[in-house]
Amino acid sequence: MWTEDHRPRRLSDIVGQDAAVSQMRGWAKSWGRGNAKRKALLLYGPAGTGKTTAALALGEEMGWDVVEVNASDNRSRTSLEELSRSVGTRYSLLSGVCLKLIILDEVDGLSGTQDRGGARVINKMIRVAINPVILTCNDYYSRKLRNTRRLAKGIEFKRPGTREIQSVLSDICRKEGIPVDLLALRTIAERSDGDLRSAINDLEALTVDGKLSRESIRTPASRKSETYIYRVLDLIFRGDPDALREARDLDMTPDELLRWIAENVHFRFRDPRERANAYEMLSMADIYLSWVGREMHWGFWGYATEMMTRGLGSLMGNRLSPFRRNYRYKYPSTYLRHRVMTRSIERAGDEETRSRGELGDELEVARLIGKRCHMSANSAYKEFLPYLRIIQENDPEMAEALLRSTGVSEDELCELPYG
Amino acid sequence: MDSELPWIEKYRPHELAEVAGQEGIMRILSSFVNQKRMSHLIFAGPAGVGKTTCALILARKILGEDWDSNFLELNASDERGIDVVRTKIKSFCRSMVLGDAPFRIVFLDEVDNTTKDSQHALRREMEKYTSTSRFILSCNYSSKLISPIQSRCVVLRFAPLKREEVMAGLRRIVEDEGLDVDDSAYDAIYYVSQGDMRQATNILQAAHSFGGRITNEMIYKISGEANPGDIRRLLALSLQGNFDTARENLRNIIFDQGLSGLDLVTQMHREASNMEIDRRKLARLLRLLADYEFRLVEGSNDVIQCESLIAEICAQE
Repeated sequence: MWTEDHRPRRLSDIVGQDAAVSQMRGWAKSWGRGNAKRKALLLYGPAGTGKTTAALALGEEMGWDVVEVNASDNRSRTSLEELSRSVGTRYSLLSGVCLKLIILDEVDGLSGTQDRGGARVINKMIRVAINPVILTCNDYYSRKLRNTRRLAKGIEFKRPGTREIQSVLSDICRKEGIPVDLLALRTIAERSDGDLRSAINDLEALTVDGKLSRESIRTPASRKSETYIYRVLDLIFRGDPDALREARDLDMTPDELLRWIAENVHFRFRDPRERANAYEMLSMADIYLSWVGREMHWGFWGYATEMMTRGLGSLMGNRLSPFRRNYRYKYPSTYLRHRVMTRSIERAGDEETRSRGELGDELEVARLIGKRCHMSANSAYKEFLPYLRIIQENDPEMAEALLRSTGVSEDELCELPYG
Repeated sequence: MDSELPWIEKYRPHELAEVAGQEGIMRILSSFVNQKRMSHLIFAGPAGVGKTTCALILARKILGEDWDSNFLELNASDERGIDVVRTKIKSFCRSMVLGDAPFRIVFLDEVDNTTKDSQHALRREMEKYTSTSRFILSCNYSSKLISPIQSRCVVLRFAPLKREEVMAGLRRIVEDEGLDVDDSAYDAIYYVSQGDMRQATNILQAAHSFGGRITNEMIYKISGEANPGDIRRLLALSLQGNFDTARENLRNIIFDQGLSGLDLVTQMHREASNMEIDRRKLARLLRLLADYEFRLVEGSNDVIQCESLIAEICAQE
């Protein structure tokens, strides 16, 4: 695996993350001096931008022992507790007394059921840590991390640019003795969309026979769908009958496509009535998509995609609209991705796991609070818990004191899932 | 670590004189206390206006020292169904009054959530044990109770608290806790809690957890409501047909103030009724709001639905 063989061993070899790397160094030095303000780092950013690599390289550079736990390991509460005990010491067989760097990978991926209570143990571990801790995650704003965000210093890893990825790829080619084709490398880099790891994986797959041909780079599915989505949006906004077929071929779920259209639709339709009609199509498409999850009936996907393509097309009458785009399409803003998406995903998936585990805890807490405060469990759940969550977010100790007063036992002092 | 009661409990009044508002009702209740007598009562009214508080005060004052053992509090939402009436209530009413108390009191909260069957069973218990037991039933709407029960009780209707009454209640907490509260924050609390003292208290406590001075922005953030001014601006922009600016404002409200689509539409509804809008336009607007409230319930992407709503308002003549 080239991604392993060519993983940078030194911080200075990490590409395109200068700001992050220097922040990490500063933090590590403060640990070395014994006056670290925050005991943990939370490295966040898209996949394949070098978070784990940077963490490992930092450990190497500082001469720390490294203990790594990633998502494939069992991260249930008990196993994490065991880990935190074992890293509560600075003694090491190899080098005597030294700091150990604990790397917890993909902490936003803690599963609700399998790793139950995991986030709480991690937070506790950070609070009492006598060793440096580095956490990595993709979704910085994940609810599971809301308390972790306060405890750990967040450092962002941005997508490296095409040129930076290209230079890494050509380095690898030189080391592997493969003739460098700049144009081919550029194509690979472009469609990786800032995911260096995927670019290296593509490169390795394409050069199995020792050379890189321009023909072969067409083969793997394009990872970067951005240019392609532009084309589909053009077709849709032109009312082209091909829009539907092309939209189906997109490597994108219908709700992602819907977000792209919704972000850009108002550029296309300037007349108030037309714009409202266009939005009407999107509004219905969104409802069909939500029915998919609610009714578990995938047939609605088809209707939704048709609303987005043919439905919008119908607003242009029967002729192809002589539409020439004179603006750049806007990427559905990050908020749309983060917040709204997580909401609909949760409806489909997360809520199931919640209903069994955490929801049960919440109802029990509500029952106890209700009893103490002369309310039904139901009203406590609806009228008090929302505020308790806010209090927990701001001032966990105050929240704990409140829970304790209502007779919630030590075991049940769980972190409430954010509502 | 210490434990700290939720303020709704910590600051629950223990004297009738401390209960906010409801003067007429307080007069009746204090004569009950003075005479150590009372009829079966129905406390009807919205949440957070003092129904439970009054029941607890009556029990303490009338039943005296042994109030605890002569007082049964049941929440009908948790323990509904006819079995509870048949077993718990019956055996409580049957047994002897303990100590010096004149009778026993059964307090049934949220009775409008019980089934008709258990209401009928309850009616018999109320008659049978009048020598030993009194009932206080609390509900949001007394009309949800079967008429035989209503006719056996004195119905006391609790009104939503007025602005000054909520203020007075809040000031008591603010002074005791030594909080630093902006004047504008009081207005905001009243605006979002709408005369519900319990909600107002919870909001105040949540605001306290932020640390520091309590401001109106904090209150709107906690309650998941936008600043009413922002909502009115959004409505005005949409009614003027200024889609691009309205869309920008909308996104600010949703993303920065963290409002859900449903909260937003509910609040637009509230503000629309307070605005000077042409009658025909208002009627159309209300239909749109209702339509989109439905779509938000059905759909999954709040932003798309709300933008669609704005586009539709912009397109109105």
